[in-house]
Amino acid sequence: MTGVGLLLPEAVLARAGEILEGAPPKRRFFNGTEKRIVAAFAECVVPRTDTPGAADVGAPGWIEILVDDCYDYDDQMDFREGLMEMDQAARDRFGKGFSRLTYGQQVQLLTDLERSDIARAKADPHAPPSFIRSFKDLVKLVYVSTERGANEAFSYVAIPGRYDGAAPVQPTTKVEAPVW
Amino acid sequence: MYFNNINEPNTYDAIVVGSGISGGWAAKELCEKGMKTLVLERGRDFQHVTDYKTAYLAPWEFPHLKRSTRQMRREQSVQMRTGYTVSEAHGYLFVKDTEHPYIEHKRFDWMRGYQKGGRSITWGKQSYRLSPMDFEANAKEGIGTPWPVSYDDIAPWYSYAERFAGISGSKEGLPQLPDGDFQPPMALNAVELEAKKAIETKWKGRKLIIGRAAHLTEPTEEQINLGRGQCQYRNLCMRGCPFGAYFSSQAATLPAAARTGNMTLRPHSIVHSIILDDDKGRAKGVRVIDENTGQAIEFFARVIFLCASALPSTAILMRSTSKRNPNGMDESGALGHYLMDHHLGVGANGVFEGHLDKTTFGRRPNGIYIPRYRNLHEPGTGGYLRGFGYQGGASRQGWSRNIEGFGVEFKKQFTSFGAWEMGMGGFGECLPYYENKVELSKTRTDRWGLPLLEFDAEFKDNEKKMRIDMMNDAAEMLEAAGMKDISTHNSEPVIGLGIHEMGTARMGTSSKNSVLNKWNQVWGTPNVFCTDGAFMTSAGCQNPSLTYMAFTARAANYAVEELKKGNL
Ligand SMILES: Cc1cc2nc3c(=O)[nH]c(=O)nc-3n(C[C@H](O)[C@H](O)[C@H](O)COP(=O)(O)OP(=O)(O)OC[C@H]3O[C@@H](n4cnc5c(N)ncnc54)[C@H](O)[C@@H]3O)c2cc1C
Ligand code: SF4
Repeated sequence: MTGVGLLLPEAVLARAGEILEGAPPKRRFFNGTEKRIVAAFAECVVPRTDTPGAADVGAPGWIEILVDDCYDYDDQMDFREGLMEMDQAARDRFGKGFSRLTYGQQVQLLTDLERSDIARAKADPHAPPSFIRSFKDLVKLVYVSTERGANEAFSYVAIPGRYDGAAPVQPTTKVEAPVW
Repeated sequence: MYFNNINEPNTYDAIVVGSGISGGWAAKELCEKGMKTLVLERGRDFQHVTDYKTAYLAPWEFPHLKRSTRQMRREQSVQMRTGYTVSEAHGYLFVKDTEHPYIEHKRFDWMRGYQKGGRSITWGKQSYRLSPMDFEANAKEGIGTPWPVSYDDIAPWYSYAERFAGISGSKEGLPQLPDGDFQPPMALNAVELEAKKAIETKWKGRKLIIGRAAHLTEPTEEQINLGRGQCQYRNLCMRGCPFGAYFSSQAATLPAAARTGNMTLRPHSIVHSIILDDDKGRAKGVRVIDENTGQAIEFFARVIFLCASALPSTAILMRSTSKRNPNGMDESGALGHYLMDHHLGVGANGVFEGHLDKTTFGRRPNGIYIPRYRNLHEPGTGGYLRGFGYQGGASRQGWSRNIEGFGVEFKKQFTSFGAWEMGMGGFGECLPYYENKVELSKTRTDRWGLPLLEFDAEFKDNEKKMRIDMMNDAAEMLEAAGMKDISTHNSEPVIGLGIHEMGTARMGTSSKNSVLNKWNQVWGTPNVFCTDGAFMTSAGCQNPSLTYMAFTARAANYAVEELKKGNL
């Protein structure tokens, strides 16, 4: 284990815009505030531990690219709105924007927001997934699709060469990263 | 062998239209029998291995981590309806709908791949024989028209196709799903074996088996000589297999045809119609539009094989008019009707609580199969005719499962194994209905001036009734297998989405009830054969491509024999 506790928002910010090797060029889809929220939120989902965190694998940059090029226009608007609502929730509760909260406050806020989303979803099973849920799904997808995420926190086997339908799970056995 | 004077320009012994699963087989058989064969393919050239440009890319090597972009989805608005084909890794192997529009009076999901090899590159490789029961059902039940071919007629050709293509599978001795000439089966995993035991114990007559799939598990000498190797369990097949381990035109039939020296393959060649000689009651050749230049060209041959896949071949027959055939090549009124597909999107999922000390290694490009067990003896029990099979599988849940929470705790779970889960989805038979049809538009054409296809088809009561069983049986079997948290689904079935479109130029016993005779010859024009899904008289519930292979090989061998006898 690791220095998650030490990971101040500033540290996250510093790495948020970092372009990792092999990562695609910077985009200007998000404004500065949005970029900072995305980076901080992504790190709350997958923090750095003994394996890379969201910022280490360049997740914020990838998220910007995917939202910019892959999302439908409506979904882009929802995404931006979701970020702003989270920022507002942070202000209402802590008097500061989301990216300026401490890591502990961010996690606490997200945990509470997610809980109320889940309660709402139980009441209305047909409701569309909440912003927090879809953001988490996006971070997960991006993380497992990056070279470091796939190889360090998961296992990536390009050519297995065989199939074993009852392979033992040892404490060191890693979950497979998706190739498909 | 030259039946024609090949010194005539554009003249061959045989013409094959399309180079997908059916066309590749026609080309191989005709070339191996010594016929100088021209293969006309509307799409671009697409070389085995060297053109599989995404085959080895890791997710992070794609500009959007493999996701489809907004632009791709705009250009492929129909192709993306599957939900899994239009991605950065293999979306380019499906057509741009903006270039290949059609008209949907009712929704019809038409999935096409226009390149050399057609959809043989992207297909799922599930390969099953139809059974005697399937060939007899129409006649017994008075549905559609009887098949003019019996299981015994086609069985040797199934074997022939299986041996060359390489189908892995287990022998089970089931009358409803005849065994074939298989390579060793792939393995079931720990939880699938549990389910197999439980289901087969509880229900006599139900079987859970490994899928029969066109992947080499033990390549033959013939396959090795063609440069094909054993499956490496990557499950990235849809990008093209650099090992030639699954059956595709590129890996198998086209190289076999090419090595005879008898094949000429012309890409960018859209076959418009067949040139008919009314006096002789024969076809002379085909009219082609060059995809790039728009130029019209004619090619001539003694025998023509239509293998453009069911709907394009049907359209070619419709566009082939003459004085004798003002409405295209059909006297029966069946052409374009009886459009069928398999209905899917119904089944169940569950979670298995045991075997937490095990997972799978390798990515098996195959799953389980539960052969049909409904209505085997008494037609119509349960309020519907025919039946369904299931495909599915079990796997250990991983990164994508839903996990609450954030931070270190979340990440710990995110990167560790969940439980095993298992799902099964039904593939149901669809009956042939006259009203389910495709026509040529009278008003709208594509950029090459060809009339657009207009679809008016839907699944009906028989299919919808069957789906109730398909959903509930799946849940019951998972429950019997000890699964928890079982959820069922039964979405509104969409025709076309099974990607097994077929039946629009069916075979039959006379020119009054069908477009093709029992040798896949067009009634009245015996030197034209159609051997893609258009010929299917009924659908079965099995994935159909192996049946196209067998019928194509049989028809091609018949054509050459008849030519030699001077009958064609
Ligand atoms: C994602 C996916 C999964 C599938 N899974 C399975 C499965 O597991 N099992 C199974 O049995 N089937 C499966 N199928 C269906 C299978 O791909 C088809 O049944 C099979 O490819 C049909 O073979 P074909 O030769 O008739 O048509 P195709 O393979 O489509 O080939 C037709 C060829 O004709 C060409 N053509 C079309 N029109 C013209 C024209 N006018 N002139 C010249 N050339 C023309 C096309 O460009 C194409 O190359 C799947 C399909 C897809 C897309
Ligand atoms: S899983 Fe097998 S058939 Fe598919 S791409 Fe890999 S080696 Fe080829």
